[in-house]
Amino acid sequence: MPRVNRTTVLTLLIITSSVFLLFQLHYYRKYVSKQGPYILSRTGHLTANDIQWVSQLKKFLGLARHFGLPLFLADTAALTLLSQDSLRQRDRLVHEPHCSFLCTGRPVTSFALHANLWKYEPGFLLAAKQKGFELLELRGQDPRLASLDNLSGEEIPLHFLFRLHGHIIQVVFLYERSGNYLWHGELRLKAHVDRSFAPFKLLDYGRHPGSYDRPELVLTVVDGIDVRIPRNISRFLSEQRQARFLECRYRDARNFLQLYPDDVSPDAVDFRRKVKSLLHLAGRTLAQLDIPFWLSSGTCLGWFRQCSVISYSRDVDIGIFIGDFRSDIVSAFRSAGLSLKHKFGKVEDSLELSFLSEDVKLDIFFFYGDGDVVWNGGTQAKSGKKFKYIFPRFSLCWAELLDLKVRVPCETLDYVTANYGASWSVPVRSWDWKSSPSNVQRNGEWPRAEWAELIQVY
Amino acid sequence: METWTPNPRAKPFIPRQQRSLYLTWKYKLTNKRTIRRFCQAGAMLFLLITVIVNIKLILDTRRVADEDAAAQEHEDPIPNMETPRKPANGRKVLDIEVYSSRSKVYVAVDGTTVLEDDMREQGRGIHVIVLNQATGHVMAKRIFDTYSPHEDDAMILFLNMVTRGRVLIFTIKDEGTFHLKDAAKNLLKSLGSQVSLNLNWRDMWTLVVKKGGQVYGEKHTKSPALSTWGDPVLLKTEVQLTASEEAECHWPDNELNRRRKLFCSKVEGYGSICGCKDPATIEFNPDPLPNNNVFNVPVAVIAGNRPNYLYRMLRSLLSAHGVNPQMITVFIDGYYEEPMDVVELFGLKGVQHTPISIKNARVSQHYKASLTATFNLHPEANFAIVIEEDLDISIDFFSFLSQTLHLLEEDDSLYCISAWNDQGYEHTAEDPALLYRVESMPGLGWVLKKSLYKDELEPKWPTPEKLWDWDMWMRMPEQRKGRECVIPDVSRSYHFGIIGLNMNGYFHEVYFKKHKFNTVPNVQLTNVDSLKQDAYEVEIQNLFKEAEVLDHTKNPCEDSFLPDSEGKTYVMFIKMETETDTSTWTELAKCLHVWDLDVRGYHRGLWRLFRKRNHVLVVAAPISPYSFTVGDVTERKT
Repeated sequence: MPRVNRTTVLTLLIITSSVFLLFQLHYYRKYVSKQGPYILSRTGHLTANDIQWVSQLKKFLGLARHFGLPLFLADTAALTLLSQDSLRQRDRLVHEPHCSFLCTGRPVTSFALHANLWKYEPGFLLAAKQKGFELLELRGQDPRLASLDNLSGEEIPLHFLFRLHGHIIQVVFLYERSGNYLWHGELRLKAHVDRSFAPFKLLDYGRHPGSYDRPELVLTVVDGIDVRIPRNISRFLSEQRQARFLECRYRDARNFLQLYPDDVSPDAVDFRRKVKSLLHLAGRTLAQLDIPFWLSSGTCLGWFRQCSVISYSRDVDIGIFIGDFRSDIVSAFRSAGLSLKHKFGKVEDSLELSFLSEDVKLDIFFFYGDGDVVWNGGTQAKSGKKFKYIFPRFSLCWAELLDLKVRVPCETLDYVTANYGASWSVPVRSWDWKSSPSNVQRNGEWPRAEWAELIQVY
Repeated sequence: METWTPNPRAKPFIPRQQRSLYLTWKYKLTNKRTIRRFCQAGAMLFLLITVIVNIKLILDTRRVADEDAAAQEHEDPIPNMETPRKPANGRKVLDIEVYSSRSKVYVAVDGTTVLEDDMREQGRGIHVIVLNQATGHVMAKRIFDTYSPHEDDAMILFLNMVTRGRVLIFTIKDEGTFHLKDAAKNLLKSLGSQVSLNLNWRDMWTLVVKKGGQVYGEKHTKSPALSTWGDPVLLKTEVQLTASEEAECHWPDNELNRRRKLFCSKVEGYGSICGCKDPATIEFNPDPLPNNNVFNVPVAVIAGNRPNYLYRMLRSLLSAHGVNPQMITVFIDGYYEEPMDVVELFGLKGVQHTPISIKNARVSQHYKASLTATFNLHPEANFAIVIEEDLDISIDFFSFLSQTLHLLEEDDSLYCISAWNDQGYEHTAEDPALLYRVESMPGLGWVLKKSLYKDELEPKWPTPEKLWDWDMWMRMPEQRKGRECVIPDVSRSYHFGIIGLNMNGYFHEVYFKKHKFNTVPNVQLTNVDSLKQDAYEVEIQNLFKEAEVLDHTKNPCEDSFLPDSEGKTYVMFIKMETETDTSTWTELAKCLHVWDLDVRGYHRGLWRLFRKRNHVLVVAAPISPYSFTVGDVTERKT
């Protein structure tokens, strides 16, 4: 009876698969949705959870205010909603109660705090505990002590996580650094810390250290709660997306300087001073044009290898993606007091600008993408020969050099190794830009007819 | 059904589309084959959904696992370094070995060496170690160079401060009796020593006692002759540990006392701070200053391994009116525990610095690291206050700085404000409200401008291989560039350090002990803006106008050189042909008992000081520009 068999088999299959399916659904709900209990958010009507959550936040911010801690809202999800809905917010002010912004559907809300306003205040933490908040305090090394001197102080608070009813309030400590920017630390769990305290992956802050310009804050009412927010939300959010900060590798730099002590002759001291002022000037000028740049070549190597400037390098090298090129760069630098020394190539190919300030040269190399590599060009003025320097693709991070917040390739080691080979850690004083770099390639010649246009030397 | 005949009674044809849904289903379901098809399709659908859900489940599980991994990523890779403590209940008896000889001393507790000193030309005198009677931990280690004067007084002070019941271990290295006076010997006797009264030149000696209790052992060898030392002594003994409750006090539980308890369980020799009854306070709450301009100026305390100095210094600093403990950072040169314990006792921030280089260069590198770190820790600060650990701080230290700080901002010809007057001794300083300009940087409690440090000093600070004093370097013309410092007539700091790199008891007695130190609170400084470059010259001209020239036929070293007046201004001249011609000044300084080791505290060849309550202007002629103007004055008067 094959037919009967087939039906039975089918029926059995259906039953088992339904049972299996039901089990899986049950399991799925139980395991996966544990992370996000706020599925029903932003639907207009409030859930009981939302109301509870808003009152908790109110309580928490009230405590912070009472203890004189001016927290500001730094939550990316909430700020995104705020920046989109800034008009609708006004209308909503009349309705009570509501939770349009702070109930983001995420179990985490982040606030930031200027650390110099934090005085170790057991009262605040105690009061928070009394209100039912559980606290996870994450501390770490003080980066302001990290320098070529070997200093160690007590650990400073980096992140506070307050938990109530499965919801996390993250307080990020922003420290003022000497390059006139704010810094927050990486969130690292020590061995004895409860790993299930919070969904750490969902935190906006702490995966990497980050750096920010000091945001201007305004006091506003969000969902019926008084809270400070950055005045320019979209700027803050775009900073947040690319805030990753790299600390200079001071330990390695110290070792390097043990082997090759720094030149402290008056000339070298003077050169470093000039480089510092030139770099600050370049930073200011390009910031006005809103052009991101990074340290390249020798200047990048100096930062990476010795957290300083290579005193015999005689110039400052920075890189800019050609997509960010603006035709008013030259005039901006000129009005900043620099003179154009030469201009090689064109926007489509191998563009390179050189400016002069006192006797220090600022080389601006423009980088072109090509598949999985990026490259910049070089031109020999007298022969019209073209060269090409090839780097693996990289992203940009913030770093500090000479009291200035600057970008460097996040994959600095790859970048430096591409440029200087595996022996980048050995100083080379005689350097030929056409042959010494390990990533240099011949790239033909400029047609002689176009020399006047493409090789401009002043 | 081969042939078809229309049935007249048949229902009229209804198009399929119009058939009701119900009927469609009914029709379909009645068809077995359709049912089977349908079931098959359903099964397929179920299987498909199962597969999809499975895939989703796998993906989600992986996501969750990723999150776990991410959480793992956040983990600190450094393992917990803390090693478990040995159970204290294991043994109740400590084996102690103490060795005393000319060139080496050591102390071993239960086989662990807690003191070993065999360095040449170092560690001379009596070494004292204090052990906790309950745990056997070392609570204090001190050397008293009782070959030199006054060190025995320091030892008496220290021994009196040790809590009763602690175990004291004494041992002599090289020589420890030359300036060990009877008071100290008697104290040792009262502690239980049998031989202390007979301790003599180059004797070797060891002693282990419980303060206010039994003697565990004592050994002594006499030196046979003046030129030789006593034979080395090795004392081996056992100490019975007591229950820990007996060794602790019961203070009320609060934040301050938790710090106190931690401190007192670790270290000894701080006296009443660890007393069980009415311990000395560690919180001072001095009056705030109205209009405090230095409340947010960071204070860098430069420290080495002199914890009892640091303790004394911090007490006076934290008692000064207008202090802001939040801004104080103590920079310790080296990874010493006890100074850090002192810092934590007062609830302050401490930073330890790995020492670089040796001697003066080490101090100089420590200064540089500390100043750099200070401005890194406080990027918003434009000034820093720098204080050494061997200073007492005047009660109006911050008030003094608050009133003068603006001068540094407004007058580019100034490069520091210092609390110290090199020539301000008990008999030569008078007016706490009076300020001077001087060309030599005195240090010893001073304010540094950030721009001066960052733009000028830091980039060319002496490198570790240069064995220079940082302060001498700062005074060099290349750094000073003709700029001056503002100082008070009566110093706002007092240098009490006896032990130090460039310091010993004799030196301190002669040059520092009689230094005048302001103890009056809230002194209102007079005419602060007259300290600016041009105004100060006017001020000095005015002084000369009212000044009388002293009778130069008399001996300037004699008291009678000055008339028995009060509150008058006098001028005297000394010979100084060139910058380096300092012999006349040195001679005068010697007989006036002021600083005579180098030339300090002058402004364009003019020293200002007080004698017999009169203001005396000492003019170096002819090098000082004032020697001519005053010359005219003199001529007119005579």
